[in-house]
Amino acid sequence: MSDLDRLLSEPKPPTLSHHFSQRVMANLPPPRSQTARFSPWLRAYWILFSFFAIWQVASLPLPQWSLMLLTPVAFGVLAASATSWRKILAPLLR
Amino acid sequence: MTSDPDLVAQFRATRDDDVFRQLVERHQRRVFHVALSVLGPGRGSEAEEVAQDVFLQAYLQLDAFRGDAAFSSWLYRMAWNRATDRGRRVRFRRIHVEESMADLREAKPGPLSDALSEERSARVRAAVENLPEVYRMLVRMHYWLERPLAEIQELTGIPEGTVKSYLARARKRLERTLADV
Repeated sequence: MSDLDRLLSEPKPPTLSHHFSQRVMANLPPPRSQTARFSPWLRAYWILFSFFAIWQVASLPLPQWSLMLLTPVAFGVLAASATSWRKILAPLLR
Repeated sequence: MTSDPDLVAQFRATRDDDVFRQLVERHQRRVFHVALSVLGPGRGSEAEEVAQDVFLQAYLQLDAFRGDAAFSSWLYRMAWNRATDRGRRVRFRRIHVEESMADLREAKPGPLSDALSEERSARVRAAVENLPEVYRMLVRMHYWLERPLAEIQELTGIPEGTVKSYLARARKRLERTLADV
């Protein structure tokens, strides 16, 4: 080994910490969709509650402009419900 | 042992953390070495932070990984890029080598031979630091981390023959710069 080789090999390189992989795993973000953890029953309850809420709001004697404002919200809730229904029904339809 | 493509496919289908852990354990040392070879001596903890960032990025972007290249190449390239970015960010903060050598002489009033040896090491480190980026990385991988040429090819994607010739050129440059050491 030449003198240059010896000088280039200094200082002794560090090694990776013993618990590196554990630290990596601990710092990973939680799953993107928290709702995916909900049970089908909880999801079904939430859907029925949404329908009930929409029905209640729609039957209130509200002025025209507030209904116009609430319509897109109602469609949003229905779309979300449809997605949830698909998730509930998917295992049954398979 | 399950292959990388199988583990990647399994992780994409299940998002199972245990599968990802296997990928981390398989590649952690090499990712660390790539980061270390870019950042250099005395920056082990930074290299470890880079390695951690790389795995976090891989976890978040694995769905976007198209599989054109091997998973390991994708990972090592990410480590190279991240470490290079980090190296550039902190480079301007680094103390000039002459100043650090003066500090060293003041801090260590030990035997003269020790001081001279330290000075030579510092000059070699400075000479390596002044090499072009790829040469610098290859010199550190081969001489400092003692990685074999076949592994360097795997880590950098540079063919073994080119690695050899780059190392020879880097060595010549170093010998010229350090002629009086």
